[in-house]
Amino acid sequence: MIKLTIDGREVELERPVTVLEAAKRVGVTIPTLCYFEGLPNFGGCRLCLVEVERLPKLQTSCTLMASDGMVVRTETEQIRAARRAMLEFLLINHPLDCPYCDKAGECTLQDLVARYGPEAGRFAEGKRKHPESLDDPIIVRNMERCVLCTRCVRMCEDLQGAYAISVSGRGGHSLIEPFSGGRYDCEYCGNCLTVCPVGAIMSRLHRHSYRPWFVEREVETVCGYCGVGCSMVLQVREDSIVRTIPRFGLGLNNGLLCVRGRFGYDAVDGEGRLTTPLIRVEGRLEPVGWEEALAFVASRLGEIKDSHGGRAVGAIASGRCTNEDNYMLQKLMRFVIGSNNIDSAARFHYAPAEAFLESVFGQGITANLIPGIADSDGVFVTGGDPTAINPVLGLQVRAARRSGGKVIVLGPPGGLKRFVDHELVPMPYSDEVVLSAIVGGLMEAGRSSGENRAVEERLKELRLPSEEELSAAGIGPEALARAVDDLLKMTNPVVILGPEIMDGARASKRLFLVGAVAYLMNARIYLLSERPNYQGVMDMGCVPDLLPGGGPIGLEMLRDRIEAVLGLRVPEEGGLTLFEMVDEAERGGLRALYVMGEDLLFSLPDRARVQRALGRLDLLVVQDIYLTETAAMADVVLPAAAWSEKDGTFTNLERRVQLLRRGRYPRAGREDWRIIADIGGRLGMEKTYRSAEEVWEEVTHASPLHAGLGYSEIAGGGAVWPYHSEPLKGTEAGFAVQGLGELPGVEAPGGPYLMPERPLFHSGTLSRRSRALLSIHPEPYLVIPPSLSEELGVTDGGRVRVVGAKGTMVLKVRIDPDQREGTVLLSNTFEGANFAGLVGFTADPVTGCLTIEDNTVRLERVDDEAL
Amino acid sequence: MKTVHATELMEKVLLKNIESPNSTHIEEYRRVGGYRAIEKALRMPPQQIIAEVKSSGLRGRGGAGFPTGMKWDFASRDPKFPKFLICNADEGEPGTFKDRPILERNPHLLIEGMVISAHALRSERGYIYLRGEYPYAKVVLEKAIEEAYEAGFLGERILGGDFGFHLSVHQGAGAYICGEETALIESIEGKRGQPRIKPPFPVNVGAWGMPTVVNNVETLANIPFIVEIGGEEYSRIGNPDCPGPKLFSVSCCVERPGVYELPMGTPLKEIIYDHAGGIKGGGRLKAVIPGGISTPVLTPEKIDCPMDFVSLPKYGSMLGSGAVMVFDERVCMVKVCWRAMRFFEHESCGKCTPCREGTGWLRNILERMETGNGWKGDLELLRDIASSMAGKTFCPLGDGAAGVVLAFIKDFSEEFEYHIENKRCMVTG
Amino acid sequence: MTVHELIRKVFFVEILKGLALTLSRLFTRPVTRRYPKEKRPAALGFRGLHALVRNPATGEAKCVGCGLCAAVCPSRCISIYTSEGPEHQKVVDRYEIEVLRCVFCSLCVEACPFGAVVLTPHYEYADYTREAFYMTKERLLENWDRFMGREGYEYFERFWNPKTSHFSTPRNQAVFGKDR
Repeated sequence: MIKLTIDGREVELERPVTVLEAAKRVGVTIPTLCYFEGLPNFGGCRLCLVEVERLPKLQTSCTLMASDGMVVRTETEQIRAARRAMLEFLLINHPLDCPYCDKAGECTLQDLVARYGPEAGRFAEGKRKHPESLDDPIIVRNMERCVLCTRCVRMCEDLQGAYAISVSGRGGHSLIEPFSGGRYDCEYCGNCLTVCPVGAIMSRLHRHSYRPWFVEREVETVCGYCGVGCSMVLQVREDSIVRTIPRFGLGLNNGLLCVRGRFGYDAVDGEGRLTTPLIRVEGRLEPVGWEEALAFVASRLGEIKDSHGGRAVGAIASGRCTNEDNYMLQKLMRFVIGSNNIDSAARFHYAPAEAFLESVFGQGITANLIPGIADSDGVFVTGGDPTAINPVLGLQVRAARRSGGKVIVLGPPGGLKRFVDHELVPMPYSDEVVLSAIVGGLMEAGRSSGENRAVEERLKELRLPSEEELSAAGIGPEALARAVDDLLKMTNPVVILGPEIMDGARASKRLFLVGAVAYLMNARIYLLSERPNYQGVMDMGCVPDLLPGGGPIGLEMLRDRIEAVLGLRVPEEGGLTLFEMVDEAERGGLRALYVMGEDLLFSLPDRARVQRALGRLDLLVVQDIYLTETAAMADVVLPAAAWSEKDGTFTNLERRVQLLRRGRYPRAGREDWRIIADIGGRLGMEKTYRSAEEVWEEVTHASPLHAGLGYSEIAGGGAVWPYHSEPLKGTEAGFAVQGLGELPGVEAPGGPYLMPERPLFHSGTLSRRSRALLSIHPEPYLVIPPSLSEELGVTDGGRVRVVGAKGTMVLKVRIDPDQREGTVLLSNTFEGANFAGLVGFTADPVTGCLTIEDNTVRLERVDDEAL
Repeated sequence: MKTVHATELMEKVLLKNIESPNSTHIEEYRRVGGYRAIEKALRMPPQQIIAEVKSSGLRGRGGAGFPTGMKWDFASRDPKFPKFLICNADEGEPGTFKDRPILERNPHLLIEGMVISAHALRSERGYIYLRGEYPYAKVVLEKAIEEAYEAGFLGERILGGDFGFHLSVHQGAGAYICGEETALIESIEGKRGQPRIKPPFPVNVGAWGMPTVVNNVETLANIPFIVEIGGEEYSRIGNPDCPGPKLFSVSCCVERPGVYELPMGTPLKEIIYDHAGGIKGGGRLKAVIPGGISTPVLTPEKIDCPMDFVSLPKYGSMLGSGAVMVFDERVCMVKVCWRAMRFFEHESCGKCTPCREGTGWLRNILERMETGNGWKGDLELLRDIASSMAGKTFCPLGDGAAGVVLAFIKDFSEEFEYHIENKRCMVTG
Repeated sequence: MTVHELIRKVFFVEILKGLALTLSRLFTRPVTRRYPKEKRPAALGFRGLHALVRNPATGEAKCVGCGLCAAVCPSRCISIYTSEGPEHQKVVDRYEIEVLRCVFCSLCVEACPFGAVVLTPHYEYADYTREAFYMTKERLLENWDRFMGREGYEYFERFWNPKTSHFSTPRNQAVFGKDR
């Protein structure tokens, strides 16, 4: 126990901390510039000087460790004079352009000068000059204003791990610069903006557009880009969002954001935002009033239900919509129309993966807390780059590595490149060979507890690869043995599972093997989620076979319960998955489809087939914020409210329910749940709702999982799974795994495999509406390995024609030295140049996930003259 | 004409045999008795060597004068391994060139000293952090290291025993701050040369987080001699409070500038007038900087002071690196001060505010004065800025800069005032 | 009643006395003004209608949109909208004062670091519509031309100017904005 006195106040410390932190505990704030909680100490600004008895000089409290019996004074005349002197030093080269600087009003230097002076400067010689750098599309650097506290550099190196900026030059000529000197070309997390105490590094998005005191409202909400669910604050002036910022101490991201969250907020203000409902009249979409549109949808749905029955109607829910929206769509389908045909794009990867893992290990196996990753001593990552799919979760992996944990990545490591101990990059579609070998290694070391009989029984069937087979898959047996050794040393491990683990045949086997690795190591599993609310979509029952709360539709007890709560009947007949709905529509069995916030035509492969299927529908209703490719085909288009324009809840990948709050009113659209409730009302739904909270109120009754979980509790941040009720245990249903006893041979494909790129700067099609994100990543490109560029004779930026099984595109090439041989990447973001437009698909027979087919492509160089 | 002093009769230790044209060759070094101390030292247990160094009273020659034995003791008590031994050959202080004869003419003495020190510290890896502006020394040192490897004084199993030590030269890129031990360690680690927060001190957490001893070239060059004659005997040389031979580099307005090896405690007057031949051209002495540019200046009435770590502070200065800079009455003190500040501004690493901004500001004002644009009140401003810097900088660089200005304007204020009032120099017109 | 009193009563002496005063006033200067015809000059420091100062060098408003006036305004009647110009400079798109809400405290004038907003001596701005009191940037500059630019300049110099109109950045210091 350390006891010391700070400004006459007694402080008792359990463990040694700096004097600055000790002072903070008793409410004494010591002014600082270079100190920032969470960053390594620097000791450069010399503002936190304090007097310590028996020490001759003033001491910097941020570096001085508190020791027993210290007597510290933080505000004396001597200290004030020293601080005044330090501020005068800082100001001699700091331009006094506060009236012009966007930071004024929230500038630490300004506040400190106001508090400690000096009133007038005595420096008469010329100030250091350096032109403002506007080379970067997003970040503006003004090095005249920089006070060289290096918070940004430490943030970039020690928390973000991007190593993108550094101090260059020496002494008074020091500058903070990205290594190129101009553009950043970094991860654009913008966390350097948060920590800059002055106006040296600022965002260009809101440059000169407002002053901090013009902000009228600050709204705490949750980011709408991925499944991590970072908390952020929307700053609102006159019903428009001027910027989004994170806040230290708020949410699981604790002050960090990624590029999409920080800069992508303008995606809701892109061009072509829908302003009015549209109805197809003589082949053209014509604007109509809300009443007319709603009445039309209700009457058509009613007609189809009456003539063909409920099973001829289907609905697609959305991972970008709130729990309330999805619940309402589910209610409309199940209880008003009487159809279990409801599914979402979570069907591609997230929902089948979770359903499969739960069938093996029990409900809630993937519900683990994200901040816990940093505390683990080992991370096994496979199926995608967490730093691109869920960037803030990826930071946790980096943090784990930095504190001594081992990181093993199976597959291309992407943003974890500099944070990997074992990089296992197998040949395309040979992951299961490597996974089998890892499982074999773990079993050999006697890692089976016997806890899960079913798993261990199945593992006996597993055929382990020989050394030759392993080498043929591209992994040396020694490299694998070393990785397994490190896996065995982990005591508190984490397994992170991305969507790409489901790509290719036998998805169930790979999932099972990853699950087995986690089981044998006693690891926590994290399932990466590309959309903010995939988990919520499932929890709200937007899956053909599950009711709200995640209970199987076949369980009579649950059916009875929900029927009693709602006073409505659950339809008997089983529902169709997304893929089955497409099939059924193509066959003509499905007559009407209600699509909420999803661009089926764009995100599903085999565009021609999907187009054909959608074209055969009698009624296609699309509810979205933009006129997407799917919406352009629709009979009725209903404009919706976007993420920052509505209240509601999101459930993130760790199954934390978080509150989404309205930042501004929608310009034209309405909240999704309200539109659906209006249609439901016209179809005979009796209950009416006034707010999202009332919808949630019903959810807490209908879903056993969310019982008693009110908005106030969610707002407190405590809505972590398992909420109040016990989760469903048991795996009586059993599970099937395909092909455990066999191993695929490595077959030579007819060309490189085209694989989906999941870029950091984009997220589906929404992000292409954001001017900010577009300025970083403006156009589509095909990522190819250097060997292929030589073979084709193309250089970086050259063009190739990609001939796929389902389409042909001419694309710009980006040569990436880290790109895996035999594969090329394309994102699914840009219109006319998307991954899904080139390949075919089928549904996995066991898990029901999306399996990409026919994705070998032929590349031809295109000379510019030919264009 | 030349008076003979007892000190001149003392056998040279550090600059022994450097006049020999082959002094850098290992054969020549061994011919005059080199590498004998290693054999003796390797037979001694490490703790005993440390005890000898402690009893010798050897203090670090880099400038701070920290007892070497104590530093070694701290490092050897730290349980972490490996330990690193770094020789600080980043001799960047203006006026200082005392290590250069050792590096360029007597490299094997340094290597021998480092091997013995490494044995005492149980370190297996050593670096010589060489000043970027000593390219010739690099050639000499690397040649000497190669010779020492061949002769079995470096490498695994030195002299057939089970002690091994590897040594290499790491050349700096010309930053003065890298003479500060933590900045030097950062530089060796491949980072930007900026001082680290102390504590923890390098003896516990140094290069790559491991215990690291950083010693000056001259300090390490003393070790073979200490081992040879024993600590007790060594402690009888010079001032008993800080004994031993010391290299003084004498420069500026003297007849015979150069490096002089003299016992600690030799009076400044004797160094200037007897060894360095007095003031050039028989002029009158005006000021002496006794220990390199960052030590405060002394006025002529103080030149009786003995040159050692204990006595100089009593006269208001410091021994520093023992670089004696002598100025006669033809030298403008404002200009000296300005030149010194130009150096500090150029070499400030930029980590802490007062040093980064203060040195530049001081230089600006001094430059104005020097060029005849001084204003009334500038002297007070200088004093105010320098006192704001003193004691508040991260490392001693800024403190040194402030100390220089304060000493100059204290002792030569009339010259500064003359510059301000008459817009020209008092000395040169 | 005495004879003296009787005589005073018969000859209306009191009334004549009063009338004499009235008569005498006919020949003195009146204390009132015939307002619309005769206007009273505003005293130094009178806080009348607002104006934005024109920079004589450029002819544009001196205002850079720092927003300090809006921050200090107790009745929150100033709204400023700025944006980034083609040369990345700060451009004041709209500067609006809702005069009906203004309490004429002149804190905005004191807060302005550039002396860019002033209160003119003009006080005759009564109108029939509310719109007339919503001052836009253009109207505020017009106010400057009409009430301050020429005849009012002395008033401006003598009263508002001393504090801030000479505010400018020293030549050797870092500058910002268009002048860079």
